Amino acid sequence: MKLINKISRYFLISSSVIFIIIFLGIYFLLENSLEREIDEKLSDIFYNVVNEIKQGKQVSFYPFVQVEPTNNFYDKKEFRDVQIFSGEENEPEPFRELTSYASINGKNYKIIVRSSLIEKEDIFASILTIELSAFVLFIVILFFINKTVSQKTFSDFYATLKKIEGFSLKDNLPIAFAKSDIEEFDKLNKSISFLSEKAIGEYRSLKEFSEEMNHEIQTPISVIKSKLELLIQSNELSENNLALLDTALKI
Amino acid sequence: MKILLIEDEKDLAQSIEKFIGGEDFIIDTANDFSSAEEKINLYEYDCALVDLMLPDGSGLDLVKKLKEVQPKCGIIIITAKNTIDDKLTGLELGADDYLTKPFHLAELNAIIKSVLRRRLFDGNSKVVINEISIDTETRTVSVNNNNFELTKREYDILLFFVSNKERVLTKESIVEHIWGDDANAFDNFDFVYTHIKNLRKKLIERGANDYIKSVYGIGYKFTLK
Repeated sequence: MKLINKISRYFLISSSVIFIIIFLGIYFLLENSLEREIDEKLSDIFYNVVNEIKQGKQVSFYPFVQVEPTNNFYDKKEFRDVQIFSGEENEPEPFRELTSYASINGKNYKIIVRSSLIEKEDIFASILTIELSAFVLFIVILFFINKTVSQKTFSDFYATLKKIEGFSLKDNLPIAFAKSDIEEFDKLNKSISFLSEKAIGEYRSLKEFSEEMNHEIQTPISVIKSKLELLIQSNELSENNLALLDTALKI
Repeated sequence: MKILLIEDEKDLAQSIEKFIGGEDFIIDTANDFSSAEEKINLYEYDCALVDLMLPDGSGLDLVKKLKEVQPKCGIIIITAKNTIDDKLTGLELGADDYLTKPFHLAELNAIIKSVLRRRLFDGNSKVVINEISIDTETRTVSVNNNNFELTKREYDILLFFVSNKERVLTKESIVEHIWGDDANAFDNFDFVYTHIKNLRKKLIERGANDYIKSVYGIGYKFTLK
Protein backbone atom coordinates (compact mmCIF):
# COMPACT_ATOMS: atom_id res chain seq x y z
CA MET A 1 0.00 0.00 0.00
CA LYS A 2 1.35 3.39 -0.94
CA LEU A 3 2.26 5.72 1.89
CA ILE A 4 -0.05 8.41 0.56
CA ASN A 5 -2.93 5.92 0.50
CA LYS A 6 -2.20 4.82 4.02
CA ILE A 7 -2.21 8.44 5.20
CA SER A 8 -5.40 9.08 3.25
CA ARG A 9 -7.03 6.08 4.83
CA TYR A 10 -6.39 7.41 8.34
CA PHE A 11 -7.51 10.78 7.13
CA LEU A 12 -10.72 9.36 5.75
CA ILE A 13 -11.51 7.34 8.84
CA SER A 14 -10.91 10.25 11.21
CA SER A 15 -12.79 12.67 9.00
CA SER A 16 -15.79 10.38 8.73
CA VAL A 17 -15.83 10.13 12.52
CA ILE A 18 -15.71 13.93 12.67
CA PHE A 19 -18.51 14.19 10.12
CA ILE A 20 -20.67 11.84 12.14
CA ILE A 21 -20.00 13.80 15.35
CA ILE A 22 -20.82 17.06 13.59
CA PHE A 23 -23.99 15.56 12.19
CA LEU A 24 -25.09 14.24 15.59
CA GLY A 25 -24.23 17.57 17.22
CA ILE A 26 -26.27 19.53 14.71
CA TYR A 27 -29.07 17.02 15.01
CA PHE A 28 -29.39 17.27 18.76
CA LEU A 29 -28.98 21.04 18.89
CA LEU A 30 -31.55 21.57 16.19
CA GLU A 31 -33.91 19.02 17.60
CA ASN A 32 -33.75 20.75 20.93
CA SER A 33 -34.40 24.26 19.66
CA LEU A 34 -37.00 23.08 17.18
CA GLU A 35 -38.88 21.26 19.92
CA ARG A 36 -38.83 24.32 22.12
CA GLU A 37 -40.07 26.41 19.23
CA ILE A 38 -42.89 24.00 18.49
CA ASP A 39 -43.83 23.73 22.14
CA GLU A 40 -44.04 27.52 22.40
CA LYS A 41 -46.16 27.65 19.28
CA LEU A 42 -48.46 24.98 20.70
CA SER A 43 -48.80 26.95 23.94
CA ASP A 44 -49.69 30.05 21.94
CA ILE A 45 -52.31 28.16 19.99
CA PHE A 46 -53.66 26.72 23.22
CA TYR A 47 -54.22 30.22 24.66
CA ASN A 48 -55.76 31.39 21.45
CA VAL A 49 -58.14 28.42 21.53
CA VAL A 50 -59.04 29.18 25.18
CA ASN A 51 -59.69 32.81 24.21
CA GLU A 52 -61.89 31.77 21.29
CA ILE A 53 -63.89 29.46 23.55
CA LYS A 54 -64.24 32.23 26.12
CA GLN A 55 -65.76 34.36 23.42
CA GLY A 56 -68.24 31.60 22.90
CA LYS A 57 -66.95 30.30 19.61
CA GLN A 58 -66.90 26.67 18.62
CA VAL A 59 -63.29 25.68 17.94
CA SER A 60 -62.38 22.37 16.35
CA PHE A 61 -59.97 21.63 13.56
CA TYR A 62 -58.87 18.00 13.52
CA PRO A 63 -56.13 16.99 13.91
CA PHE A 64 -54.67 20.37 14.83
CA VAL A 65 -57.18 21.46 17.46
CA GLN A 66 -59.39 19.11 19.45
CA VAL A 67 -61.70 20.37 22.18
CA GLU A 68 -63.61 17.93 24.38
CA PRO A 69 -65.80 18.84 27.31
CA THR A 70 -64.84 16.80 30.34
CA ASN A 71 -65.72 16.45 33.97
CA ASN A 72 -62.20 16.20 35.15
CA PHE A 73 -59.78 18.94 35.47
CA TYR A 74 -56.05 18.61 35.81
CA ASP A 75 -53.77 21.50 36.09
CA LYS A 76 -51.10 20.20 33.79
CA LYS A 77 -49.55 20.70 30.38
CA GLU A 78 -48.46 17.52 28.69
CA PHE A 79 -46.29 17.56 25.53
CA ARG A 80 -45.62 14.40 23.57
CA ASP A 81 -44.87 13.03 20.10
CA VAL A 82 -47.61 10.96 18.45
CA GLN A 83 -48.49 9.34 15.17
CA ILE A 84 -51.83 10.44 13.74
CA PHE A 85 -53.65 9.15 10.70
CA SER A 86 -54.57 12.07 8.60
CA GLY A 87 -54.41 13.57 5.19
CA GLU A 88 -55.47 12.03 1.92
CA GLU A 89 -53.20 9.02 2.07
CA ASN A 90 -54.38 8.19 5.54
CA GLU A 91 -50.94 7.26 6.64
CA PRO A 92 -49.50 7.81 10.07
CA GLU A 93 -47.74 11.13 10.29
CA PRO A 94 -45.62 12.41 13.15
CA PHE A 95 -47.19 15.13 15.30
CA ARG A 96 -46.29 17.01 18.42
CA GLU A 97 -49.24 17.45 20.70
CA LEU A 98 -50.05 19.48 23.77
CA THR A 99 -52.76 18.15 26.04
CA SER A 100 -54.08 20.55 28.63
CA TYR A 101 -57.22 21.37 30.51
CA ALA A 102 -59.04 24.63 30.80
CA SER A 103 -61.99 25.74 32.92
CA ILE A 104 -64.01 28.23 30.94
CA ASN A 105 -67.25 29.75 32.17
CA GLY A 106 -67.66 26.96 34.67
CA LYS A 107 -67.15 24.18 32.17
CA ASN A 108 -64.10 21.96 31.94
CA TYR A 109 -62.47 21.32 28.62
CA LYS A 110 -59.74 18.97 27.56
CA ILE A 111 -57.92 20.76 24.79
CA ILE A 112 -55.42 19.02 22.50
CA VAL A 113 -53.37 21.13 20.09
CA ARG A 114 -51.10 19.51 17.52
CA SER A 115 -48.46 20.57 15.11
CA SER A 116 -47.04 18.50 12.28
CA LEU A 117 -43.43 17.35 12.55
CA ILE A 118 -42.98 16.67 8.89
CA GLU A 119 -41.27 20.00 8.57
CA LYS A 120 -38.73 18.91 11.13
CA GLU A 121 -38.02 15.71 9.23
CA ASP A 122 -37.47 17.72 6.09
CA ILE A 123 -34.96 19.90 7.84
CA PHE A 124 -33.01 16.87 9.02
CA ALA A 125 -33.12 15.35 5.58
CA SER A 126 -31.65 18.57 4.17
CA ILE A 127 -28.90 18.63 6.76
CA LEU A 128 -28.01 15.03 6.04
CA THR A 129 -27.93 15.73 2.30
CA ILE A 130 -25.65 18.74 2.79
CA GLU A 131 -23.38 16.76 5.09
CA LEU A 132 -23.14 13.81 2.75
CA SER A 133 -22.42 15.92 -0.29
CA ALA A 134 -19.77 17.80 1.68
CA PHE A 135 -18.24 14.46 2.58
CA VAL A 136 -18.26 13.23 -1.01
CA LEU A 137 -16.74 16.52 -2.14
CA PHE A 138 -14.10 16.13 0.54
CA ILE A 139 -13.19 12.65 -0.72
CA VAL A 140 -12.99 13.84 -4.31
CA ILE A 141 -10.73 16.74 -3.33
CA LEU A 142 -8.59 14.39 -1.23
CA PHE A 143 -8.20 12.07 -4.19
CA PHE A 144 -6.92 14.85 -6.42
CA ILE A 145 -4.64 16.23 -3.73
CA ASN A 146 -3.16 12.75 -3.27
CA LYS A 147 -2.56 12.39 -6.95
CA THR A 148 -0.75 15.70 -7.16
CA VAL A 149 1.19 15.06 -3.98
CA SER A 150 2.37 11.65 -5.03
CA GLN A 151 3.37 13.00 -8.41
CA LYS A 152 5.16 16.13 -7.25
CA THR A 153 6.31 15.50 -3.73
CA PHE A 154 7.26 11.91 -4.24
CA SER A 155 9.07 12.48 -7.51
CA ASP A 156 12.29 13.05 -5.54
CA PHE A 157 11.68 9.87 -3.64
CA TYR A 158 11.21 7.83 -6.79
CA ALA A 159 14.32 9.41 -8.31
CA THR A 160 16.24 8.27 -5.24
CA LEU A 161 14.85 4.76 -5.54
CA LYS A 162 15.86 4.57 -9.16
CA LYS A 163 19.42 5.60 -8.35
CA ILE A 164 19.69 3.01 -5.60
CA GLU A 165 18.47 0.34 -7.98
CA GLY A 166 21.11 1.35 -10.51
CA PHE A 167 23.89 1.30 -7.95
CA SER A 168 26.67 -1.22 -8.30
CA LEU A 169 29.78 -1.57 -6.17
CA LYS A 170 31.78 -2.46 -9.23
CA ASP A 171 31.16 0.91 -10.87
CA ASN A 172 33.22 2.49 -8.13
CA LEU A 173 30.90 5.52 -8.17
CA PRO A 174 29.08 6.68 -5.05
CA ILE A 175 25.45 7.65 -5.58
CA ALA A 176 25.10 11.39 -6.14
CA PHE A 177 21.74 13.10 -5.75
CA ALA A 178 20.35 16.42 -6.86
CA LYS A 179 19.28 18.53 -3.92
CA SER A 180 15.71 17.88 -2.84
CA ASP A 181 13.68 20.76 -1.40
CA ILE A 182 12.00 18.31 0.95
CA GLU A 183 14.03 18.04 4.13
CA GLU A 184 13.29 14.36 4.81
CA PHE A 185 14.22 13.28 1.31
CA ASP A 186 17.32 15.42 1.38
CA LYS A 187 18.37 13.72 4.60
CA LEU A 188 17.62 10.31 3.09
CA ASN A 189 19.70 11.15 0.02
CA LYS A 190 22.63 12.29 2.14
CA SER A 191 22.55 9.09 4.19
CA ILE A 192 22.41 6.95 1.07
CA SER A 193 25.29 8.85 -0.52
CA PHE A 194 27.30 8.35 2.64
CA LEU A 195 26.38 4.68 2.76
CA SER A 196 27.35 4.13 -0.86
CA GLU A 197 30.72 5.81 -0.34
CA LYS A 198 31.36 3.64 2.68
CA ALA A 199 30.30 0.49 0.85
CA ILE A 200 32.59 1.29 -2.06
CA GLY A 201 35.49 1.91 0.29
CA GLU A 202 34.93 -1.37 2.11
CA TYR A 203 34.48 -3.21 -1.15
CA ARG A 204 37.70 -1.78 -2.51
CA SER A 205 39.75 -2.77 0.52
CA LEU A 206 38.19 -6.23 0.51
CA LYS A 207 39.01 -6.56 -3.16
CA GLU A 208 42.57 -5.46 -2.60
CA PHE A 209 42.87 -7.92 0.23
CA SER A 210 41.60 -10.82 -1.86
CA GLU A 211 43.90 -9.84 -4.70
CA GLU A 212 46.86 -9.81 -2.35
CA MET A 213 45.71 -13.09 -0.90
CA ASN A 214 45.32 -14.52 -4.35
CA HIS A 215 48.84 -13.49 -5.22
CA GLU A 216 50.26 -14.91 -2.02
CA ILE A 217 48.59 -18.26 -2.59
CA GLN A 218 48.90 -18.58 -6.34
CA THR A 219 52.62 -17.84 -6.52
CA PRO A 220 53.77 -20.87 -4.51
CA ILE A 221 51.17 -23.06 -6.20
CA SER A 222 52.47 -21.91 -9.57
CA VAL A 223 56.00 -22.82 -8.57
CA ILE A 224 54.99 -26.24 -7.25
CA LYS A 225 52.92 -26.97 -10.30
CA SER A 226 55.66 -25.94 -12.70
CA LYS A 227 58.19 -28.12 -10.92
CA LEU A 228 55.86 -31.11 -11.03
CA GLU A 229 55.27 -30.53 -14.70
CA LEU A 230 58.99 -30.49 -15.32
CA LEU A 231 59.32 -33.62 -13.29
CA ILE A 232 56.89 -35.59 -15.44
CA GLN A 233 59.02 -34.80 -18.46
CA SER A 234 61.71 -37.00 -17.00
CA ASN A 235 62.15 -40.39 -18.58
CA GLU A 236 63.43 -41.99 -15.42
CA LEU A 237 60.15 -42.18 -13.57
CA SER A 238 58.41 -45.41 -12.72
CA GLU A 239 54.73 -45.89 -13.33
CA ASN A 240 54.12 -45.48 -9.59
CA ASN A 241 55.98 -42.19 -9.55
CA LEU A 242 53.96 -40.97 -12.50
CA ALA A 243 50.70 -41.97 -10.83
CA LEU A 244 51.69 -39.94 -7.76
CA LEU A 245 52.58 -36.95 -9.88
CA ASP A 246 49.37 -37.25 -11.78
CA THR A 247 47.37 -37.08 -8.56
CA ALA A 248 49.38 -34.10 -7.35
CA LEU A 249 48.92 -32.27 -10.65
CA LYS A 250 45.18 -32.82 -10.70
CA ILE A 251 44.68 -30.64 -7.65
CA MET B 1 64.13 -16.76 -31.33
CA LYS B 2 64.74 -14.67 -28.27
CA ILE B 3 62.30 -14.44 -25.46
CA LEU B 4 62.43 -12.08 -22.51
CA LEU B 5 60.98 -13.55 -19.33
CA ILE B 6 60.12 -11.00 -16.66
CA GLU B 7 59.21 -12.87 -13.50
CA ASP B 8 60.17 -12.03 -9.93
CA GLU B 9 59.57 -15.53 -8.62
CA LYS B 10 62.93 -17.10 -9.44
CA ASP B 11 61.77 -20.70 -9.00
CA LEU B 12 58.96 -20.21 -11.43
CA ALA B 13 61.24 -18.40 -13.89
CA GLN B 14 63.60 -21.34 -13.74
CA SER B 15 60.81 -23.82 -14.50
CA ILE B 16 59.62 -21.78 -17.46
CA GLU B 17 63.16 -21.48 -18.77
CA LYS B 18 63.69 -25.18 -18.51
CA PHE B 19 60.39 -26.11 -20.09
CA ILE B 20 60.22 -23.77 -23.06
CA GLY B 21 63.91 -23.15 -23.58
CA GLY B 22 66.06 -25.33 -25.68
CA GLU B 23 64.72 -26.37 -29.05
CA ASP B 24 63.71 -23.03 -30.60
CA PHE B 25 64.02 -20.44 -27.91
CA ILE B 26 66.72 -18.54 -26.14
CA ILE B 27 65.37 -17.30 -22.85
CA ASP B 28 66.60 -14.16 -21.17
CA THR B 29 65.31 -13.76 -17.62
CA ALA B 30 64.81 -10.56 -15.64
CA ASN B 31 63.76 -10.86 -12.02
CA ASP B 32 62.81 -7.27 -11.38
CA PHE B 33 61.57 -4.12 -13.01
CA SER B 34 64.87 -2.30 -13.39
CA SER B 35 66.80 -5.17 -14.96
CA ALA B 36 63.86 -5.84 -17.27
CA GLU B 37 63.84 -2.21 -18.34
CA GLU B 38 67.56 -2.36 -18.99
CA LYS B 39 67.22 -5.48 -21.12
CA ILE B 40 64.38 -3.99 -23.10
CA ASN B 41 66.56 -1.02 -23.93
CA LEU B 42 69.63 -3.08 -24.78
CA TYR B 43 68.44 -6.14 -26.65
CA GLU B 44 65.83 -7.09 -29.17
CA TYR B 45 63.28 -9.79 -28.43
CA ASP B 46 60.68 -11.68 -30.41
CA CYS B 47 58.42 -12.19 -27.46
CA ALA B 48 58.20 -11.02 -23.85
CA LEU B 49 56.49 -12.71 -20.92
CA VAL B 50 55.60 -10.05 -18.39
CA ASP B 51 54.56 -10.68 -14.80
CA LEU B 52 52.41 -7.75 -13.76
CA MET B 53 53.36 -7.79 -10.09
CA LEU B 54 57.00 -6.92 -9.67
CA PRO B 55 58.67 -5.84 -6.44
CA ASP B 56 59.90 -2.53 -7.83
CA GLY B 57 57.24 -1.57 -10.33
CA SER B 58 54.24 -2.54 -12.35
CA GLY B 59 54.51 -4.87 -15.32
CA LEU B 60 51.99 -2.67 -17.09
CA ASP B 61 54.64 0.05 -17.38
CA LEU B 62 56.99 -2.48 -18.95
CA VAL B 63 54.28 -3.39 -21.46
CA LYS B 64 54.03 0.30 -22.37
CA LYS B 65 57.78 0.54 -22.66
CA LEU B 66 57.99 -2.57 -24.84
CA LYS B 67 55.34 -1.21 -27.16
CA GLU B 68 57.36 1.96 -27.45
CA VAL B 69 60.84 0.53 -27.90
CA GLN B 70 60.10 -2.79 -29.60
CA PRO B 71 56.76 -2.61 -31.35
CA LYS B 72 57.40 -5.92 -33.14
CA CYS B 73 57.84 -7.88 -29.93
CA GLY B 74 54.95 -10.13 -28.92
CA ILE B 75 53.75 -9.58 -25.37
CA ILE B 76 52.17 -12.11 -23.04
CA ILE B 77 51.01 -11.00 -19.63
CA ILE B 78 51.36 -13.35 -16.69
CA THR B 79 49.42 -12.46 -13.60
CA ALA B 80 48.27 -13.90 -10.33
CA LYS B 81 45.76 -11.13 -10.07
CA ASN B 82 42.75 -12.74 -11.57
CA THR B 83 41.06 -9.42 -12.07
CA ILE B 84 39.42 -8.35 -15.25
CA ASP B 85 40.61 -4.76 -14.75
CA ASP B 86 44.28 -5.65 -15.12
CA LYS B 87 43.71 -8.00 -18.00
CA LEU B 88 41.80 -5.37 -19.90
CA THR B 89 44.39 -2.69 -19.19
CA GLY B 90 47.12 -5.03 -20.35
CA LEU B 91 45.32 -5.96 -23.54
CA GLU B 92 44.45 -2.31 -24.18
CA LEU B 93 48.10 -1.41 -23.85
CA GLY B 94 48.83 -3.87 -26.62
CA ALA B 95 49.55 -7.21 -24.97
CA ASP B 96 48.82 -10.15 -27.29
CA ASP B 97 47.58 -12.58 -24.70
CA TYR B 98 47.49 -13.24 -20.99
CA LEU B 99 47.85 -16.14 -18.59
CA THR B 100 46.64 -16.39 -15.05
CA LYS B 101 48.71 -18.15 -12.42
CA PRO B 102 48.81 -21.00 -11.81
CA PHE B 103 49.08 -22.15 -15.41
CA HIS B 104 50.37 -25.20 -17.23
CA LEU B 105 53.81 -24.74 -18.73
CA ALA B 106 52.55 -26.45 -21.85
CA GLU B 107 49.83 -23.86 -22.09
CA LEU B 108 52.36 -21.06 -21.86
CA ASN B 109 54.44 -22.76 -24.55
CA ALA B 110 51.42 -23.04 -26.85
CA ILE B 111 50.52 -19.38 -26.29
CA ILE B 112 54.06 -18.20 -27.01
CA LYS B 113 54.10 -20.15 -30.25
CA SER B 114 50.72 -18.89 -31.32
CA VAL B 115 51.72 -15.28 -30.56
CA LEU B 116 54.95 -15.70 -32.48
CA ARG B 117 53.12 -17.19 -35.45
CA ARG B 118 50.74 -14.26 -35.50
CA ARG B 119 53.52 -11.73 -35.02
CA LEU B 120 56.26 -13.00 -37.26
CA PHE B 121 54.33 -14.50 -40.11
CA ASP B 122 51.23 -12.34 -39.98
CA GLY B 123 49.27 -15.46 -39.13
CA ASN B 124 50.22 -17.01 -42.43
CA SER B 125 52.45 -19.70 -41.13
CA LYS B 126 52.60 -23.40 -41.76
CA VAL B 127 53.71 -25.72 -39.05
CA VAL B 128 55.40 -28.71 -40.61
CA ILE B 129 56.37 -31.89 -38.81
CA ASN B 130 57.73 -34.40 -41.26
CA GLU B 131 54.74 -35.48 -43.36
CA ILE B 132 52.18 -33.49 -41.38
CA SER B 133 51.55 -29.89 -42.29
CA ILE B 134 49.26 -27.55 -40.39
CA ASP B 135 48.08 -24.26 -41.85
CA THR B 136 47.24 -22.15 -38.83
CA GLU B 137 45.52 -19.47 -40.87
CA THR B 138 43.00 -21.64 -42.68
CA ARG B 139 43.08 -24.17 -39.84
CA THR B 140 43.58 -27.05 -42.22
CA VAL B 141 45.78 -30.12 -41.92
CA SER B 142 47.41 -32.17 -44.62
CA VAL B 143 49.43 -35.36 -44.64
CA ASN B 144 51.78 -35.76 -47.59
CA ASN B 145 50.10 -32.74 -49.18
CA ASN B 146 46.66 -34.28 -49.01
CA ASN B 147 44.25 -32.02 -47.14
CA PHE B 148 41.72 -33.60 -44.87
CA GLU B 149 39.10 -32.64 -42.35
CA LEU B 150 39.55 -32.55 -38.59
CA THR B 151 36.97 -31.42 -36.09
CA LYS B 152 37.64 -28.15 -34.30
CA ARG B 153 38.59 -30.02 -31.11
CA GLU B 154 40.87 -32.44 -32.94
CA TYR B 155 42.58 -29.58 -34.74
CA ASP B 156 43.12 -27.69 -31.46
CA ILE B 157 44.47 -30.80 -29.79
CA LEU B 158 46.84 -31.51 -32.66
CA LEU B 159 48.16 -27.97 -32.64
CA PHE B 160 48.62 -28.13 -28.88
CA PHE B 161 50.59 -31.35 -29.27
CA VAL B 162 52.73 -29.94 -32.03
CA SER B 163 53.45 -26.81 -30.00
CA ASN B 164 54.65 -29.05 -27.19
CA LYS B 165 56.63 -31.66 -29.05
CA GLU B 166 58.57 -34.18 -26.97
CA ARG B 167 56.77 -33.12 -23.80
CA VAL B 168 54.38 -35.05 -21.65
CA LEU B 169 51.02 -33.34 -21.65
CA THR B 170 48.64 -34.21 -18.83
CA LYS B 171 45.00 -34.75 -19.63
CA GLU B 172 44.13 -31.72 -17.49
CA SER B 173 46.41 -29.43 -19.42
CA ILE B 174 44.86 -30.60 -22.69
CA VAL B 175 41.32 -30.12 -21.40
CA GLU B 176 42.14 -26.71 -19.96
CA HIS B 177 43.76 -25.63 -23.17
CA ILE B 178 40.87 -26.71 -25.39
CA TRP B 179 37.90 -26.02 -23.16
CA GLY B 180 39.29 -23.11 -21.15
CA ASP B 181 37.35 -22.13 -18.06
CA ASP B 182 34.67 -24.70 -18.84
CA ALA B 183 37.17 -27.38 -17.84
CA ASN B 184 36.10 -26.93 -14.23
CA ALA B 185 32.70 -28.32 -15.11
CA PHE B 186 34.05 -31.77 -15.91
CA ASP B 187 34.27 -34.50 -13.30
CA ASN B 188 37.08 -36.31 -15.02
CA PHE B 189 39.09 -35.83 -18.16
CA ASP B 190 38.76 -39.28 -19.64
CA PHE B 191 36.66 -38.02 -22.54
CA VAL B 192 39.86 -36.54 -23.95
CA TYR B 193 40.81 -40.10 -24.78
CA THR B 194 38.04 -40.32 -27.40
CA HIS B 195 39.13 -37.15 -29.14
CA ILE B 196 42.75 -38.26 -29.21
CA LYS B 197 41.83 -41.74 -30.39
CA ASN B 198 39.92 -40.24 -33.33
CA LEU B 199 42.74 -37.84 -34.11
CA ARG B 200 45.30 -40.63 -34.17
CA LYS B 201 43.06 -42.78 -36.32
CA LYS B 202 42.57 -40.01 -38.89
CA LEU B 203 46.29 -39.24 -39.07
CA ILE B 204 47.30 -42.90 -39.46
CA GLU B 205 44.60 -43.51 -42.09
CA ARG B 206 46.13 -40.71 -44.19
CA GLY B 207 49.53 -42.31 -43.94
CA ALA B 208 51.11 -40.35 -41.10
CA ASN B 209 53.24 -41.96 -38.47
CA ASP B 210 51.71 -42.48 -35.04
CA TYR B 211 53.47 -39.71 -33.16
CA ILE B 212 51.04 -39.47 -30.26
CA LYS B 213 52.02 -41.83 -27.52
CA SER B 214 50.13 -42.28 -24.30
CA VAL B 215 52.15 -41.99 -21.12
CA TYR B 216 50.75 -44.46 -18.60
CA GLY B 217 47.63 -42.98 -17.03
CA ILE B 218 48.96 -39.51 -16.89
CA GLY B 219 48.68 -38.10 -20.40
CA TYR B 220 50.19 -38.08 -23.86
CA LYS B 221 53.34 -37.13 -25.67
CA PHE B 222 53.87 -36.08 -29.27
CA THR B 223 57.21 -37.53 -30.08
CA LEU B 224 59.23 -37.94 -33.22
CA LYS B 225 61.64 -40.37 -31.63
